[in-house]
Amino acid sequence: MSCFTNKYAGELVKNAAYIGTPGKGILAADESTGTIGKRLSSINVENIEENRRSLRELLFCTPGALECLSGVILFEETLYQKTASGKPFVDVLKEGGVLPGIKVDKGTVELRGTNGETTTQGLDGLGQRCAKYYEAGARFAKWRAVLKIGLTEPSELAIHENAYGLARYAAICQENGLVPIVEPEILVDGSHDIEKCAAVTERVLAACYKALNDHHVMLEGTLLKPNMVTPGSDAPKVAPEVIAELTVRALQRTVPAAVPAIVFLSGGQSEEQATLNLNAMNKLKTKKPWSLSFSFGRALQQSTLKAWAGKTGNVGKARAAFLCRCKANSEATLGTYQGNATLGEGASESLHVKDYKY
Amino acid sequence: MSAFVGKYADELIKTARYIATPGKGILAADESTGTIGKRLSSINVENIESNRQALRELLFKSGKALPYLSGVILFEETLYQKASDGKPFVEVLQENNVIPGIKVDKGVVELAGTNGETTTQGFDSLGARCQQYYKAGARFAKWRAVLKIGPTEPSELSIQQNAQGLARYAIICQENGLVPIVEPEILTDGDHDIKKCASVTEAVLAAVYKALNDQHVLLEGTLLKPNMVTPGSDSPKVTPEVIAEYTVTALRRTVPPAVPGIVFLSGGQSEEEATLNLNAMNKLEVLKPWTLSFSFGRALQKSTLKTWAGKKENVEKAQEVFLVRCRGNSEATLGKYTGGGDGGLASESLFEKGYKY
Repeated sequence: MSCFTNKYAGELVKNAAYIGTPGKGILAADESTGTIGKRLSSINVENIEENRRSLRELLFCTPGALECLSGVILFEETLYQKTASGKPFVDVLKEGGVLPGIKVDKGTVELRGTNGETTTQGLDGLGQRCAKYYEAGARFAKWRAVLKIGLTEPSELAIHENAYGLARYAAICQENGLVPIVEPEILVDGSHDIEKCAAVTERVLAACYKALNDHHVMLEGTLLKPNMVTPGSDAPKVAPEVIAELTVRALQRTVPAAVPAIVFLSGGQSEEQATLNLNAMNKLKTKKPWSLSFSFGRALQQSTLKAWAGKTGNVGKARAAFLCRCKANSEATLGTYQGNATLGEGASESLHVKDYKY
Repeated sequence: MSAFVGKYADELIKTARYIATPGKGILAADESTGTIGKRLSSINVENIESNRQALRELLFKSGKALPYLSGVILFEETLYQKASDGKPFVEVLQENNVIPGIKVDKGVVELAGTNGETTTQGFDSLGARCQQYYKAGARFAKWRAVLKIGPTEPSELSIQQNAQGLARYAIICQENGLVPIVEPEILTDGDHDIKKCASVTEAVLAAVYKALNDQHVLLEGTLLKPNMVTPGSDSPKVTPEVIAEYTVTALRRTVPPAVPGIVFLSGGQSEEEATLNLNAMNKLEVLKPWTLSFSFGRALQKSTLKTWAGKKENVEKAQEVFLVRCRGNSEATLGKYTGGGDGGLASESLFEKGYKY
């Protein structure tokens, strides 16, 4: 095979396929300490370890929620945290049939000579870190590459750097037993139309899969986490059916069938928008050799956060909101979402933050 | 879109999809004058136009075989030839729902500084030629790129040259209404094992699809004509099931679902081998988002040629033989081929070292 296989090959394939189980998806709860701080401050909660731990316990111990999830991405701190009664989060997830995942990138840095384009860092010692995370119970990883659309963006340099960075990260993960989620996020910022987003997405994804092939990555043991194809944030909106059609078409033109699942990021979409778009994709009658699911952060947690507001007395209410979004997205992966989820406060609120930094 | 969408876009998509109809495949009858000469001399027939015409008439007038074909690739001379009753071959095919295609490359030339690797020529006035062929009734084209496996082959240069060449040819075709068949043939010559062939095939196909994306080719309006993944010609043979598994895995790793159909070349395989391998692929229980069919030259015509031997009185019998191969391959596209029934002719290897078209 042109791809590298090792003792983890069978396990990687199995885990990647499991994450793509219809009816399930990923909760992206891997906000770094800085980023989670922004979330907490938006509900007037102090950014201390105990509050970060409480929030994650609120999520992971929501009865019924884990059934809608096949994986949860964690930040390093969370990988080693426990519930108030002393049970490691990793065990809570495993017992609930959910694979723990780990964010392994170390953020973006600017590419000199470009117009604010970036590349992602985190390759130094990555192999050892992955081995350590595997020991701690992680079975998949995530690395976020970021591109933007502009007059001359994304540049060939940005595309190449990010594609090859993703490929190197992916190869290292597989060497150490972690399924790499490949995330080439193209930001929604801008006034471009949906056709432009489609063209850029196709170009970027084609570069990613060429890079993955060059690096001998075993596609059957990977996942893709792309943006949906949408108009820019400053452009007129379109219907979920249009987003679905152009997104799936872009994927048909670039993502080989060997990839078991595609788990969309939500970008700045509101909880409801993200769910409706995912649902429309799964209703589309066309060739889809990979399952289409979610890897949502904000789009799963927004109304939950608001309902919680950091108060123990609100945990029940917050959990109800969380379960509601989990179920809605689970249905969306099957194309059966009716759009009647009890909308928690903020579920229709756009979550777009210009020039969003994790 | 990142893909070029010209005035022919819908037609290209429709044609490509039709060619990929399950139960149908392509007859590659585009042997150049020189190459068909070799075939004819093997049955002691003189290489003159009337004999070339007679052979193609034998094939295209096999009424019972035509339902198993969605397309026939022609050489330029044949595109303008007629049957003995005066009807243009193109019309004979069209009336039987067989789409005429045209070979548009002009053979290979060596890449200096490599170990006998080649690139394909034919770009000069290609657009204008495609327009002419479209007017004459052609609706798809074919261009053969050739790579080989060796200790240092295929080289990065060879892969890039051939991939970019195929992509440039493809976009020119689409600008002029022809569905491009993309053919990156990796020769079987060598003593490498099947894993090596798989590895090279995956690297080559990945480069091809990157090049097609770079050049804005509309994948929904193309077809792929790859080699099957097999051991080298000097290597021990393996079963059809093994060939099927490695081949389909390689394709699943590289060929985007937007491509409607994959039509394999037969290389040096015998008629029977090629059919059995195609059948095994279609029986494989794994998700395949494109149809898997045939675009066979030698593997459809070998025993037909022998049976004909250039004699009018053998035409009917030869057409029967041709029907058997066409029907067998049609069944293979559905995973329903049960094998045999042809008296051994079909099992003869058609391998020729360093094969030149």
